Amino acid sequence: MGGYIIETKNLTKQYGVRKSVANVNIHVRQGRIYGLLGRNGAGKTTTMKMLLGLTQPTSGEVRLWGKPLAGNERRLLSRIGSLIESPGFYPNLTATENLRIFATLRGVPNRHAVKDALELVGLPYQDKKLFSQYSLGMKQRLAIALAVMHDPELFILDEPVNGLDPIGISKMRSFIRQLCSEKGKTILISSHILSEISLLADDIGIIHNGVLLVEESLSVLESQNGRYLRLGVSDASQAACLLETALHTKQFWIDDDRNLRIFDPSLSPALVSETMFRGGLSLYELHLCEDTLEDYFKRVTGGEGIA
Amino acid sequence: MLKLILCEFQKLKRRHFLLLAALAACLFPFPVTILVKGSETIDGSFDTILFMLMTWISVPLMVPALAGITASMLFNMERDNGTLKNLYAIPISWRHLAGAKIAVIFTLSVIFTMTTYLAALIAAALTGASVTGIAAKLCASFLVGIFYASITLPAVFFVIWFNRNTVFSTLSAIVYAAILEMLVWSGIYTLSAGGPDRDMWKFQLWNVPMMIFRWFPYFIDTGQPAADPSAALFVPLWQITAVSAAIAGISICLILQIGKRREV
Ligand SMILES: Nc1ncnc2c1ncn2[C@@H]1O[C@H](COP(=O)(O)OP(=O)(O)OP(=O)(O)O)[C@@H](O)[C@H]1O
Ligand SMILES: [Mg+2]
Repeated sequence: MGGYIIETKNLTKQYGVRKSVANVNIHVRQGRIYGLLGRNGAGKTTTMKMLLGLTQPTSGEVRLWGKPLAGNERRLLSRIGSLIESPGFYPNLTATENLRIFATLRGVPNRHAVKDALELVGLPYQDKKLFSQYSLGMKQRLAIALAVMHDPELFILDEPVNGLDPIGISKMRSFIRQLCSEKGKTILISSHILSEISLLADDIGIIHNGVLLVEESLSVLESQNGRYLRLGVSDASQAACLLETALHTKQFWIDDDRNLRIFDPSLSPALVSETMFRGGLSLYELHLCEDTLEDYFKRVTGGEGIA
Repeated sequence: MLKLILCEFQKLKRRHFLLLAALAACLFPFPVTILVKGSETIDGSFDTILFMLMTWISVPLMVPALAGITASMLFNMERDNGTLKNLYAIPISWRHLAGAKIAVIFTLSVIFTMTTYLAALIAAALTGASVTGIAAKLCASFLVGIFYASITLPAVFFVIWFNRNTVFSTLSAIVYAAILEMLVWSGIYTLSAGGPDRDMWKFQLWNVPMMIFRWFPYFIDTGQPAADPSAALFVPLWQITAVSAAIAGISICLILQIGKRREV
């Protein structure tokens, strides 16, 4: 259990025959920023919806503060501030009126909560402008205001910088970091932009086609996964067989019929070359290469050799 | 729950359609009063004017239309603007949300019939008609609002079930209201066409709008219905209450059931 704020156990969501989220085990720790990284359609939103009880998991369990979400919605959800996909507000009302409705329904005791929240995201309080006349960025800010209004302990933010301008993005970033460092809030944030996540998150989960491929702290990822071995051999597919059978690794990627890359950090160049010789393959090249985090993300989410 | 209902009213802010409906409720009684006054076959008492407005001309068309359109607004609004996820994350259940919306529908219907009542009262007073039994008629107007809201709920269920855009939902509400109004007209036609020995067991006489039509004068004329030669026409309160309650109950169950299975 180990005091995770969010913990999922084999969380799965199936739409029709396709699993949008498959056996995801996420662990979000107290007071950290967890970045859920994935390409479009990876399953980020679906995962977050299940964390908030907006959709029921096909199987698996969500635990928040160590308690199962199912059956404890009333107690647990009120401690969460969330933003899922596009901002949802009533177009015929102003920002203040919109927030008032949600403040009333949440039973927010602080009478200045609406005003404070709007100030925090830089929207005017006494404004006649209706939500339908808002720009995309302003709508997004209002959604953030809604998430912070009731001073929750945990934030679940689905692509919060969507539609913001560069200054807005950097403000949002420092705002989120402040929430975490000064107020000790826990934050789960999703994005398909790696740079965004790497600037912000303490821990990273990479989700692809509904599968959580990697879950690691940013520092470990940066130190460990930046390196790979590039191999030039006489027969790449035979080398792939060897890697799987003799070295028991699937963490490699076939570039073409003569070149491979091995990402498994536990395999040393010496061991690999020795294995190749034993298998009767000629080794033309062997390089130890450095990978940027960006390359790593591309490889993990776009590569084919990764199981 | 009260908070939820008040918030539902908040969400209808700047929907000018509702003002138009209120205006219609206020205006309807005046032309009716003038017409009735000018007619020689209909007596121009307050009773008759109110009876015509409540069960024949205004309410059977306007209340289902108003309630149906408001309902499609309230339900479609959440879906179209993606606000359900914010509500569910509070958490507010579909049961409570739908319950609040249904309460709004009932309230608006009653407001409409009460406004009609007041306007008819003013129109009657202005034309110098005798006004009696104010309390009983107020009560009857209130009940008419409740009954018509109840029989609009099946249409509300279908609007939610079909889950289409606002234009489709609004049109369905209007068509439904027109059907109810037509039921009243065909019922009245059947009544006036048949002689004293007419067959009472016809659908034209036993649908809910016609039952309301046949109950209303009995209720406001609390004196001696049995003395009336057409007493056989009258429908007692319990019958109309039971039928509307059954329709409302089934519809509400279906509405609560159908939304639960939908995910955001
Ligand atoms: N209600 C639904 N019915 C059927 N399929 C769905 C539904 N919601 C999501 N999906 C599918 O689930 C997969 C994951 O969708 P999801 O919205 O979680 O992706 P995402 O990671 O949030 O992507 P993006 O970066 O584009 O927001 C997609 O293939 C999507 O088509
Ligand atoms: Mg998404």
